[in-house]
Parts: sequence; structure tokens; C-alpha cells
Amino acid sequence: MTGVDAALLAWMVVVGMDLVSVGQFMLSRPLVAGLVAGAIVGDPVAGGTVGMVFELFALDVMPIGAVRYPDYGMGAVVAAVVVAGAPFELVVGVGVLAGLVVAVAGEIGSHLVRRANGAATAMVADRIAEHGASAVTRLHLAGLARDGIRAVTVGAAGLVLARSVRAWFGIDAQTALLLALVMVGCALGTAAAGSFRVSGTREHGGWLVAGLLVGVGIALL
Amino acid sequence: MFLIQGSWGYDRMIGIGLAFAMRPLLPTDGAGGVDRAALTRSAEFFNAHPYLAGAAVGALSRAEADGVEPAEVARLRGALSGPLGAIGDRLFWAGLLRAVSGLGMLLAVLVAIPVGAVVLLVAYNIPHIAVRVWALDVGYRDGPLVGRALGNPMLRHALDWAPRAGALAVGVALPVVAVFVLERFTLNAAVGALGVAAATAVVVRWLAPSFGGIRLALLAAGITVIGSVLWP
Repeated sequence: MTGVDAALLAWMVVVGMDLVSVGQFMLSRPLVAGLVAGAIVGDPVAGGTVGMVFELFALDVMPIGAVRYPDYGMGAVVAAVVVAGAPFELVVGVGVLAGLVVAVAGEIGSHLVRRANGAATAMVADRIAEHGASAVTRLHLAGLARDGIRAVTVGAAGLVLARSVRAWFGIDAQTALLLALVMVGCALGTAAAGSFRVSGTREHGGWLVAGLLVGVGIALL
Repeated sequence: MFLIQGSWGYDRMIGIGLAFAMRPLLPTDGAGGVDRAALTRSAEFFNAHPYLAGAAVGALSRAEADGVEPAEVARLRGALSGPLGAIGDRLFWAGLLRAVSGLGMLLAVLVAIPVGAVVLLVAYNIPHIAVRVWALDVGYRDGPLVGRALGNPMLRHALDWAPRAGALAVGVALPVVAVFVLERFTLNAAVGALGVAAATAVVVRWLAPSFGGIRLALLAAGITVIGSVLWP
């Protein structure tokens, strides 16, 4: 493992654990995660740009209650590694695809961690009164460790995938371009649908539409 | 408090995390350890927004420390769960997070990508950390009467404005980001991507939440790759 890979893996663990279990400081937002990953591999602009594509996907997420959602931050890191230093329009499709696979793997991992936490709690719950604070501390720290293991596992697998996917650059330019358009189109469509689902209510829909009009004006300028 | 979701599980949600956070504030037993009956109660099911859970940590700890009857503590616990979740979801997930995400993307395009990322982090975390500190403080100070603090006029005002700011910021950012990404492609290709976007928006809006954008994107990518292999 090179120093760059070690730094990327460490960043993926930070990103993965920030998603739910440690702090939720939004280091796991794709724009941030992708930018830092891009900086680590020497192409922060590509990392930040592909992070923005994942930020669009993430607008579909409302992390309330027991909702399961993809780990878009880890996905953005993997996508940033794939697209770094290559012609953006030809690699963004492959990069986003690899990132989405990792995002889903992160989501499945979170589900397994939650189930494992529940099973561990069920086994120990009756003994909290007997063992006191140490039982609660052990349960809690074990939960954190499980999420850490999830982040390391998904992160390592994601990096292997990213390095392998770069070999895909051999696909013909037409397919790469088509994939790029499909991925970017899906990101924009998902963001639009998510925004109207969350903010397009009678109460706030006017603000969303006003924003869209302003945004179109800025874009045309 | 920053680790309160560390042991999140489907059955007790943040119950164990709540007990973990409450340990230093709970009354002690005769041997100098944490009161085990209070600790056991603290570890029961609990669900709330993680940033506002501090209000529950403070209020329930204060109630236990003041010797409030266990049935009353349980009632308080049940009464806090819903409002703390609903307020946090509206304030942060539907409001502030979307506002800073939109603002971050906008600044990333119009100024520089690092500026967008830094503004996102700073603009989010100042209120985030302030609310965490306020919630714990007000919870412990007011104890079982913490519900009154949730009627704080500033909080009510923020609850009105945060989702509006989120809607506005995302609305402004979407067309700007779309142009920023699509200008790298030819006009025909960009129009094609917008067609995909329109179809995706309709399908995701129709099938959500059972079939979100990521599933559709993976399906579309699979079809694209397989199609390109079969019909080069």
C-alpha cells in the first residue's frame, strides 16, 4: 500500500464514520469528500467536480428515523480516484458508476451494522442492571468499532475497485461518453425529484421555484 | 454527545447512545458507581434527532438526579422523543443541510470548489455545534420542563426559515450546477443528458422511495454497458 492509498483509506474511514456514528460534521458530504480525495491524488478540481455530481444524488436523501441511505461520501471518494488526471467527460461516467456501487455497499454495510448493534444489545440488555456503566460503555464502543470496520472494509474494497476500474478506460470513447451522459442525467434528475419531494410542498414550493428561476438567470449569464 | 449514534440499532435506536451520554450526569449508588436502575431506564428505546438529543440527555439526567419517579421519567422520555425528532429533521435535514449544500455547490461553481466546500462546512457546523451545546445546557437546566425551551421564539423562527432557505438555495444551485457539468459536453450530448434527467426525475418522483435515483442510475448504467457490448 502506498502513502497515497493509506491517506485515501484513512479519509474514507473519516468520511464513512462521519455519516452516522461520529459527529455528523458533514465531512461526508460528497462535495467535501470528493474534493479532499481529489487533493490527495493530485487533482482536486476533478475530485470536487465529481463530488458535486454525488452531491446532486444526495439531495434525494432525507436521513430521518430508521431510513437507510447510500454512503455517497465514500462513493465520491472512489469516483474522485477514478477520474483524477483523466479527460473528465470520458471518465466521469465510469467514475460515478464505481462510486455508486460503493455508495450502495456502504448502505448495505450500515444496515448490517445496525442489525449487529441490535443483536448485541439484545444479548446484553438484561445484564445492564447487573454490570452497570461498563456494559453500556462496552455496547456503545463495540457499535462504534463495527461502524469503523464497515468503513475500513468498504473503503478498502472501494479503493481496489477504483484502481481496477481505471483499466476500463480502454472502453471505446462512444460508450464512455454515453455512460457519462446517463450518469450525469440521472444525477440531475434525482436531484430535481428529491428537491421537489422535500421542498416542493405547498409550504415551500414557491421558494424552490423562485430559486430555480434565479438559478436559470445566473446560468444564462 | 458527538458519538450518540455510535451504537444505533433498529430496536432501541439511540437508546444505548443516550445512556452512554447520560452516564456522567446520572446519580450515583452507594458504592460510587452509576445508579444502575437509572442507567437501565436510560438505555431503553429512544429516538430523536442526534443534534437535539442533548436536550433529552440533560432533562432525563436532571430528572433522575432530582429523584423524579421512574414512571414520570418514562413519560418525559416518551414526550421528548417525537418533538426533538421533528424539530431536528425540519431544522437540519430539510432546512440547513439543503441550504448549505446548495450554497456550497453554487460557490464551488461561481468562485472556486474549495471555497464552496469550506463554506458548506463552516456554515453548517457553527449552528450545528451551537444547537448541540444549547440543547444539552437547556435540558439539564430545565429538567422535566425542557419542553418550554422548545417554544423559544428564535427556534420557532428558525423552523420557519430553514426549510425556505433550503428550498431556495437548492433551487438556485440546480441550474447552475447543471450548466457547469454539461458545458463540458457537446450541445447534442448535453441535450441528451437533460432528456435522461427529465426521465429520471419523473420515474424517481413516481417510484420513490422504493426505487430511488441511485437504483435507477445503476440500472441505466447496466443497460448502457450491456447495450454497448451487444451492439457496438
